[in-house]
Amino acid sequence: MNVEPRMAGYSKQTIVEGLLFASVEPVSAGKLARAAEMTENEVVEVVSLLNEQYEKEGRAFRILNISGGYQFRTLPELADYIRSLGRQIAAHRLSPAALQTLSIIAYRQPIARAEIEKIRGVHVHGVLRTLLERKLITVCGRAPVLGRPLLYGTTPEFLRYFGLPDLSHLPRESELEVILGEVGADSKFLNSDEHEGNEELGDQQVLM
Amino acid sequence: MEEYQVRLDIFEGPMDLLVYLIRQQEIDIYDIPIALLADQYLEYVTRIENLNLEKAGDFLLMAATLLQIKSRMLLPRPEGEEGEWEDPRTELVEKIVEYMQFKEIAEHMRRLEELSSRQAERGFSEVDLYSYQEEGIQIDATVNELILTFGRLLLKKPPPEPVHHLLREKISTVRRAGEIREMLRQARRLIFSDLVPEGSSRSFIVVTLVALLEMAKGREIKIEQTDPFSQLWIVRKRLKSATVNGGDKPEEPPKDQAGTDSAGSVHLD
Repeated sequence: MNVEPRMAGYSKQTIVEGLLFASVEPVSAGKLARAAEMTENEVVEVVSLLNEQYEKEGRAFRILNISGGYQFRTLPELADYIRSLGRQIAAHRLSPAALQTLSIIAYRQPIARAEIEKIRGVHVHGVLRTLLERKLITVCGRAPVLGRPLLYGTTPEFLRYFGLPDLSHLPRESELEVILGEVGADSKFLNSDEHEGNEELGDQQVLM
Repeated sequence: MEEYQVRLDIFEGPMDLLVYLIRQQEIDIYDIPIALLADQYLEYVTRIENLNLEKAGDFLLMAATLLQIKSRMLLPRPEGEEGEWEDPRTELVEKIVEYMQFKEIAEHMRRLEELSSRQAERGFSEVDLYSYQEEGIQIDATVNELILTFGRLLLKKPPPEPVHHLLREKISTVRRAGEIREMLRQARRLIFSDLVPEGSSRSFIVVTLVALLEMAKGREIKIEQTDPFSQLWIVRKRLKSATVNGGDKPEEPPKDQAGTDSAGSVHLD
């Protein structure tokens, strides 16, 4: 039988959609471009066209940019249904201590343990181990100072866990300072902290 | 009093407590009434009783810092040379501001986490049905894994057999299987190390191994792990009525203790 060119009869959308559907992991625009024989710009364009189409048709998923690649993800509104199917959604929430430590690493990486402890005012051995085990952080070198302490940084899994395309999508520290200007007299933050501390005791046990 | 103790647990550390006090009192962090803050801080810290030593140490270190700043504030400022005077609070204020910033960031990341966790990736797997402690791909462990794990255990721990053999522990595989079954009935799956606690005797380890092998052979249990060389999990299989029904019966007293730890005896009924 006569083998037609691969793309014959199929739109670029169909091809990119197929490639993404076949992959569980995020796939980079570069990889998609090579596999689909188009340019990266075309891939980006096709992805946004697909998303528009999904929205128009009321589909259950979108293509998201996660950890430097594209990936199908279901709409957050469906989470409860999916959970009822048995899938563990949001079952692995990080403890407040882990989350705070991770924030510091994300913004100050590469960073040594002592630096993190200076900011948090507490020891962080245990938390670091948890984060390493969950592959949210990794050792990325040694500081050129006395004792040559290990330096920690975030991983691609970190981006995936938080659904981020890359680190630049975290809010800038300067942007947060604006928010902080009003913090002094604002007690709402405090309340939410207390709230969190309580409801998480259970999760922490699962995690640590 | 009791109430305070409970509430202290919600503070992640001394910085958390400081920020709490600052917000509660609506203190201007750029002009902290340090004496007041130090007093309030100390009042909370004196209520720390149930904290472990390390955590208490963190709180006390901050208390010392506050008192030091407080005392330096009391020293007369050198007159005339105004520009020279350095506010002893400066360093603390910078730390607090930085800490608040990261609290803010953490809160933001919590929202990201929440959203992302609700956007399911493709690939629904059986793993999701269990809430394993570790994430990862579930693979069936081989008998080799099991034996290797036991081997490591036996090598690692020299037998702490009693010097005087007054109460020699005698446990048959049948009885051990019964105990494991009972544990599984409550937990459904067990971490391997639950079955062989620290300091178990050599004979106990061996009997446990044989019991597990028998149970696996009788398809009562599955032995799984999430990664090669990782923790072994003992998972109870759902029993079909056709197969071994011993699983749902209460433990039976060992019929014959003397030396019949041989295969076959595990199959009750």
